[in-house]
Amino acid sequence: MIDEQQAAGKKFQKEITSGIASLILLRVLDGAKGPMYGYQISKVLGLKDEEAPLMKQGALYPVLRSLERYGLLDSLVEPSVSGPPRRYYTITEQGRQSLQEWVVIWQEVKGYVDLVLKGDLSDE
Amino acid sequence: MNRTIEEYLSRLKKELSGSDKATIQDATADAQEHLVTALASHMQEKSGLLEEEVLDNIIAEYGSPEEIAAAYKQAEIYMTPYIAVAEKTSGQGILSRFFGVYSDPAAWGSFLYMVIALVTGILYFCWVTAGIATTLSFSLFLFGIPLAVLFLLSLQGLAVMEGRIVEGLLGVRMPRRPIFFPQKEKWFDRLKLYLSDQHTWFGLLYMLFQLPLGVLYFTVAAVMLPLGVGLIAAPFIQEMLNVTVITLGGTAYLIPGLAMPFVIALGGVLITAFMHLAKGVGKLHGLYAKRLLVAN
Repeated sequence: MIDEQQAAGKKFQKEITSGIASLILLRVLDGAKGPMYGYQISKVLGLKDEEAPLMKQGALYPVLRSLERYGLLDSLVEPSVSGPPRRYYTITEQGRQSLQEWVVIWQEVKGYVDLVLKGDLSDE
Repeated sequence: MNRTIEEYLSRLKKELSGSDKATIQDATADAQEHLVTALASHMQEKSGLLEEEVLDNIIAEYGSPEEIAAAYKQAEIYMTPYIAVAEKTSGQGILSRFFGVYSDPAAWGSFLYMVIALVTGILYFCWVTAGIATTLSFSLFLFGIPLAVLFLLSLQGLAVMEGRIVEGLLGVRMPRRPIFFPQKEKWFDRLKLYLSDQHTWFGLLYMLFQLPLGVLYFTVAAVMLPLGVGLIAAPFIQEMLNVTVITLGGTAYLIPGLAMPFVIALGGVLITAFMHLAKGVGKLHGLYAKRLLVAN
């Protein structure tokens, strides 16, 4: 029973973070002074809380890839002295436009969910 | 648990087994980049912990191989190339299936690839032959080893670039990151590692063969397409300009009036057949590129 509850909780968290992660990454790169690589982004996001992490650091990378696939991010690989080459990401103009739209969607959803959770909805 | 980064990567690969080869290559490259960077940064902070303990903490934050594999599998749904998505189911009739090739992006992509392959083929061939000649002639000197390593690294870069072209035009999912190799401190060890890996040789062969293949693809396109267009145009030119268009062995032939529709139709069939051929070539070349340029 507890296992099922935990599994349902994990599934809920996974579903909810998969969309939000894109929004968060676009926002971080929109506010960045220059191109950023994965580890830098994960530091900025502070994904360290092991008790209830929003998502694991490693889960950022596939999201970055899919954002790039849709033309919202651009990337460039640069060799690094200490290890393997690093992929630096920047936001594209299309990415900025999407971010603006997504912020509006997010605020609408957030407002609505807050309303539902407070129990302020009525059928009248 | 995770003694080294290599151990983590091999567990990640195991978790991803069954996924697209390109996804596995991307996932291991991402993980390697993150873990190596994080480890170097944590070790600089000198927290007093052993490297193993630091690595365990880093991996706890990065995510277990199971969690990360799940994230990549989920994202894979959105990574299908445009052309593969656009590939539509053909109509029912033979004719609509035959001529439907014109509305098939895969056929147009392959056609473009056949033309471009000549240019990329020449570039790859020149780079590889010049690179081999230079590295061999400098191999007598000490700096020959770093030069050879740099040349082999450049091949990995070319393989990723070629992968982008193949994915864009042929609709075969290709990795966005080079093949993963464990990090080695010494130049000689790195050279040994590259030379003992089959992917280095596959990549080298691919780059060399791209020239003859590019010439072949271009020639087929440059013969079949103008021939088809010529056959369609010939009757019109003959009628409008009153000149003979077809000359065989020094003798000029007039196209008889009754044969004209057939000549035009033959031209149309030839061009359409070429589009089908291009699509087939594109599919085969995609498989071949994936076999040679992507890690197994």
